[in-house]
Amino acid sequence: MPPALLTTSLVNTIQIGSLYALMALGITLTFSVMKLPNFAHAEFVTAGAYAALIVSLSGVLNPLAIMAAAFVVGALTALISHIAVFKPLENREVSLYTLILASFAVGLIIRYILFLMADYFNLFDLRIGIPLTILFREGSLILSNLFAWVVPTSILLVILLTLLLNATPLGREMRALANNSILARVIGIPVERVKNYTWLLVGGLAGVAGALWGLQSAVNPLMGWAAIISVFAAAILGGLSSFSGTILGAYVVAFSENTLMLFLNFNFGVDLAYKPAIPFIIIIAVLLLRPQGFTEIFRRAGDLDR
Amino acid sequence: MGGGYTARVSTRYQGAEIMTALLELRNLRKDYGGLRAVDDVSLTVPEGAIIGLIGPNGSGKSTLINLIAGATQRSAGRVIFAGDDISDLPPDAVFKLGIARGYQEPALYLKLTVLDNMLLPVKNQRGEGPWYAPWWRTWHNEEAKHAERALAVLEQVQLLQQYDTLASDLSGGQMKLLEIARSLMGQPKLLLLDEPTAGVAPKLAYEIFEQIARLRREHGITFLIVEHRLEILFDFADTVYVMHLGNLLAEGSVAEIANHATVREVYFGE
Amino acid sequence: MIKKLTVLLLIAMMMLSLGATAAAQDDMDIYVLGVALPFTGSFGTFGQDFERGIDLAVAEMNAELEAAGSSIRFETASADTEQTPEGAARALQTIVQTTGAQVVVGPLTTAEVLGAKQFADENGVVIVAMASSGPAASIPGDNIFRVIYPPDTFSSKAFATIALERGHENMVVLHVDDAFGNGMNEQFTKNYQANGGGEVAAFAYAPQSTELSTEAAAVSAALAGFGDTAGFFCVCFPGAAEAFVQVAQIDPVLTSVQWLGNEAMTSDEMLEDPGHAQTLANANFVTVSQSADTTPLTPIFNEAFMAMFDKEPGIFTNYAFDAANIAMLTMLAAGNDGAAVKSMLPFISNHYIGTAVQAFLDENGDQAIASYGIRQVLEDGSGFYVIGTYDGNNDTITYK
Repeated sequence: MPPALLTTSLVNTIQIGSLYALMALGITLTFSVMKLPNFAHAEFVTAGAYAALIVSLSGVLNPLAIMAAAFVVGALTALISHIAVFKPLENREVSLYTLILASFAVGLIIRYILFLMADYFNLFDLRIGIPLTILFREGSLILSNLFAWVVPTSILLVILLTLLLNATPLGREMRALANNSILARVIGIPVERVKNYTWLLVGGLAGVAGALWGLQSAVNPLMGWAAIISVFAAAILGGLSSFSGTILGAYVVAFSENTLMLFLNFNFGVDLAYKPAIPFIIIIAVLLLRPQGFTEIFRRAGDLDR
Repeated sequence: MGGGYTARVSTRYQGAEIMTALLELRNLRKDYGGLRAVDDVSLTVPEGAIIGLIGPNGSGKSTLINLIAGATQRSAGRVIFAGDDISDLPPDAVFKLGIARGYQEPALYLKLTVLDNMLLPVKNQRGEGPWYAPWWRTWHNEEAKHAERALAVLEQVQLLQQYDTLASDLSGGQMKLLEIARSLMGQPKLLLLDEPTAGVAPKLAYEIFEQIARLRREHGITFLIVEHRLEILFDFADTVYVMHLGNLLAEGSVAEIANHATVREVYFGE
Repeated sequence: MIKKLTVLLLIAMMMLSLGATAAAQDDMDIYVLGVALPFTGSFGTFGQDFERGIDLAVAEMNAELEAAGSSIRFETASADTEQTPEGAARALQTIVQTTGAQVVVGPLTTAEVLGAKQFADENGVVIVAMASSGPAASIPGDNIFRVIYPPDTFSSKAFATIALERGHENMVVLHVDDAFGNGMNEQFTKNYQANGGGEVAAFAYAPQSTELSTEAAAVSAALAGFGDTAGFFCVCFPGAAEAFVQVAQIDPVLTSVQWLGNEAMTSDEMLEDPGHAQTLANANFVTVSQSADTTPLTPIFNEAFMAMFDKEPGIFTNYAFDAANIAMLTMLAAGNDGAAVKSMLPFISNHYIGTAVQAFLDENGDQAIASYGIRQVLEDGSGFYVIGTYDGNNDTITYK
């Protein structure tokens, strides 16, 4: 494997891994606090990407404004999904399987609403209008302005989320809910309010991830769905409960899809078309061999262990 | 309706500081299918008292606690707390009115620190809201005040050293103490405790009851305690109720109960 | 109770409205023309535009039939293929089982055509595809006809010839991993190497991919391995094409070589992004795709389309219009019967000149007259212009 390819693939690993981390943390948070493996998360990402695209098409090219719009739209999409579907189902105390199926259905509905909108306004495969430029170049190491937005933003948001969770009263209540939701009600934690806030946060982060993902590729109604398996693989590597495990998982998935895939392609002729199989292999391997993922590696430190 | 029951306060407490009934159960009944777990129980818990509730396993003690706390729906009867009918309130509403409870298995957030566990029941915290939570300044002072109070309570129950320990790392007795300490954070009027000394070493068990006595003395908190360790309970309780097969078998002072013929028969097997 | 009543009322209303249309068309012979196209997915815009072309053909035909006093009318019944082989099979089944259609126009890609093939063959339904070009579907005697647009056996030769003309000693191919992409890659490699070309390094990407940075890195490394004299050939679907150019535009190797590519790279969406347009311009991007030929019918079609839909027809939309016409003409001649249509379609097709080229079918039921336009991106990336034509039957490129 030539060094230039290794360098490029590692840069891609960091860039895409950061995006995966941003998306996967939302899944981990939803699963911990709400006990819901939410497949509609993919569509929160897509909704955010479309918000970003529309803002950019309206002529606003400030990345912060674009991400703010994506945050708001993603957050509202998540909250509406909760109030309209997940909350009524929880009140009926349905089984986990029902909730999983419901999350698929919610995702499908949002996806096709986006399809209708994209069709009407002809918004397929467009890119958020921030031009790509090279910021840094040293030999085969090339860093773009996109890298400079994606990686620090993701890392910053992950740090902020960790702080919010571990150092504020709101975060304390979220962790309490994750730890023991029945007790939470009894000792007077405003469970419904905390859940609403959690959904806003989860959706908002997904929306921002969508905006950044739309800078990376093109915006279309399937983009979130196309990434969701990789993102779930990352969350499952994190045992669906550990923040640090999920972040590590995101980079492991990105590394497997980029550097490892290229290594296999270059040295053993494995077809790149097998790339989508990688997250499936990771999920199956983790569930068979180590269902707790990386959780045991990172004990303590404010993780969302159930 | 408030006037109606103050007149029926047990005469035993007249002349003492304790004047009113804080909790009153009227003809409370609970059926599980064909099984009558609690059968027509009426009792009165005066404010500031330590009331013991004893009886063999399956006599309906825990069900009674659940009925008061709103965790179980009654079949009939009423629960009156501080003059209000709370029979149909959900557990969180009951909690808000000032009835806290401790469980046989301590119900704690095991993955959270002792201090976190203490701060969770505090009502109306500013930093709970998503708009304030990110701005440390807006809630930090308030949080510091709550933390100070929490640490003071922890000191009372001798858990100050462990404030930053994960709850899962505490001993069984310490968990019980933390549970009691946490319920104090909500400034309860009445504490329902289900076997606070179960699985606790004898020395620590005695300490737990000493804490209970002090909390009554210093904060005027009323206790309704289910307990199997009669030797300890009898040292602290003002009044003891005895349950058997869902019925209230006897009521009286410790001395009365200890010498009650029927109680000795069903409870001590004599 | 009220709910039940509402449902009953709705059902009654539906039945009434159905009855009403049935009554109005009581004395008409309705021929159903099935339309199976991808209305969702990255080809969704193609599918929707194609359907407009078909609707225009049907509207024109019905107007003529009415004027002539015929009792025959055409109606379309469409279903979404979801751009997958399974989806195409489902779409075909839905159309046939709900309307009894004997002839279906579509689907779009070769993978979809092959997905629908088994159901069509087993149920005697005729498929008339307008843009499928993968050699994998070149099968004699089946129920699939691919009119107007010739198989890639021809265009792959043109791509190979251009690559050699440009002096590319080796080639790197990135192609979608489906019947179309794999076929194009195979044919291109065969023709390129038969005429003196060197090594071809091919990379396949999964059809549903929306992010191609790994693929771009691999292509870049392969190009770097070959050195300055190598060229790049991209056989991508829309969406993936944009995602690829998005990451390729800052790659030092990919931005320093010349590119060839299929027509998906020439979409409006691609040129709307200035960075993408510039990348293609710098790469002297050339594509060999739909015919540059026009017929007297071409401007008439364009005007009618504008008048009906208030927008210009997209790329290949006139092919859908032509395919629908061939299907309808055959049905008028042979009747609304799959077997008869299958038997007669080559004859009608061979007597049809539509908006682009003379339709003429080979023994596989594929378009045999291969006429292409060669298009290059303008230097400022604002559009594409025709630099020449390729006559596939004589394998000759004519530059303007």
